Amino acid sequence: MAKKKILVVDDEASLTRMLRRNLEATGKYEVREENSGALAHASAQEFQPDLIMLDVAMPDVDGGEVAARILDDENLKNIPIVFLTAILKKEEAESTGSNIAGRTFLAKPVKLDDLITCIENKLGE
Amino acid sequence: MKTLINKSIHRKLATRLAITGIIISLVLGIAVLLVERGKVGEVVLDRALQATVHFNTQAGYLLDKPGLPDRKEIQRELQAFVSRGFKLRKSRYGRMGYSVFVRIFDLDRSEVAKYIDSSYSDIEAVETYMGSSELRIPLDDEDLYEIIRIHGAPYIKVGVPLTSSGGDVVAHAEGVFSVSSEAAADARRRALRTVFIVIAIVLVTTGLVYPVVIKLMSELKNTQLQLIQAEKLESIGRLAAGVAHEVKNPLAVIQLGVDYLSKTLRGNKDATESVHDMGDAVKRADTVIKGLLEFSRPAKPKMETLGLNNVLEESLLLVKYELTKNSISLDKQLGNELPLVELDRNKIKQVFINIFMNAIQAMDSGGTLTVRTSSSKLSKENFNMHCKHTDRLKAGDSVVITEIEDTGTGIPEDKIDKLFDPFFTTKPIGAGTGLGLSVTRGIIDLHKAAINIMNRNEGGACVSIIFKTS
Repeated sequence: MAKKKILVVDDEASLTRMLRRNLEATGKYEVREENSGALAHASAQEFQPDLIMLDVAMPDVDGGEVAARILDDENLKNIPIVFLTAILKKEEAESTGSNIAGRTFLAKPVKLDDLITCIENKLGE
Repeated sequence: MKTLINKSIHRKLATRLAITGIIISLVLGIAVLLVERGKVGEVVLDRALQATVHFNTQAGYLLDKPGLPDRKEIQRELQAFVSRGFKLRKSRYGRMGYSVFVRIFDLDRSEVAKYIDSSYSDIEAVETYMGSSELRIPLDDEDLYEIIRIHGAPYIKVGVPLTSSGGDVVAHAEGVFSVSSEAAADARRRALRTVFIVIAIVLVTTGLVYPVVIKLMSELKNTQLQLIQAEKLESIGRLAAGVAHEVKNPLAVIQLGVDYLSKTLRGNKDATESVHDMGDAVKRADTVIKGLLEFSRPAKPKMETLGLNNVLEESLLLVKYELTKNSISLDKQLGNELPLVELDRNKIKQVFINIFMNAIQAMDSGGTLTVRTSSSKLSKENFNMHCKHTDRLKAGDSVVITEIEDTGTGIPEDKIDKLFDPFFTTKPIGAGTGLGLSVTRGIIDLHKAAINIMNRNEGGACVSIIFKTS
């Protein structure tokens, strides 16, 4: 089975690195890191991921803006997006079924198991 | 602490009010004395005028009497008249004075008659005065009246033309009248009485105004404290949210690192254990952060109309194990048929559990946890004791009161005002975040209820929570 491609966007390089390492260790995913919100759209165009993990609060272009650009792009708009954010409490994210206004949110710090479950659910949809 | 501050404010205020009262009394008193003194002069003038009119009429009649052409005759008659009738009449102010010296001149200014009151002891002084210029007090345009002072005492000097019945001026009279000491004393008495009345009014007003001022001052102070507290909480809340966000990112990295390592290090026991401990540490740190966020933006309550006793029972179930473990006996005194209360079940449970856990931690060598509920009208005493910090309850409201008492160590008096401050804790480092009671207070505020913690006389602490019934 071909590996699923995941684009991880977060301004914190250590986090994207850790995400890549963890996800690739499962043997199921190919991960690309992007640490700039401004470049995220271009990365997505080039990488053509199956799923995008997106930080919300980023210094240049925030996650909401990145998501809007991707949804505006005919070629990318169907790619599922999972927001990964420190703004929410875990309980808040969970109490809403990790779903706020139709978007999927995970609260940092996220456990790897929860992350993978969420990714699998999204990819299976 | 608070009472100390209040007392010193009261004392300062009382002193200030008393001083102000005394100054006002003195100023008013002096003003009254001055006015009344002026009145002595006015009164005297008034009497003098009456005397003059009387004198004038009688003299005119006398001069018109047929068969009295002789100057000596006139002089004799005048003298008789003067000694007989030249006394000031009684008035509503009492006897104002009497003539001590009268001289009558003809038109050439030669003296035709003279009367001296022989009972007057200081005739010489009066006679000396008559030729001299004395202090003149201009009370009117009228030149006829003068108030003069002889040896410091006031006298009235009157000069009048004497007319015949035909209207011709036939002679001049000049008289000096004493002012009776009785009248002056009377005026002084009235002045003093007025002063006393003024002082009494000032004192009574001060007495009436003082408690109102004190009340206003303490209300102002209370509002200020509330505002300061609200502001403090708000800025701490903002800070907390910022800190939480900044800490969560590195925590996320560590968490994922822990997850990665725990998979790759399988087989190495020590390494696995270390990584597991790191995972626990992340969880603990995350719990603190969660508390901070809870404090900085408490989620909206989901209100239901519930019986408070049920919520209490549910909360007690959750700490049952802790109670048994610490040999703490439970004394439940739950009131029957309490009115229902609007509350968020989970949040109020969080409040109760928080308070129970504090109580349990305060009784590390066993004790009794008493939980009591009752319903009543909020008494003034309870309001003053428990509800001062909230403006949502007032004396007379129908309330349900929950009291949770322990027999533990109690709270040091100097710390009792700070219990609800975020990050304030009396527990050893690591044992508490100092956020429990801040969050509790936040939840109680959301319910428009009141919470108060005080030490019991018998030892231990008592937490009262007062809900308005729906």
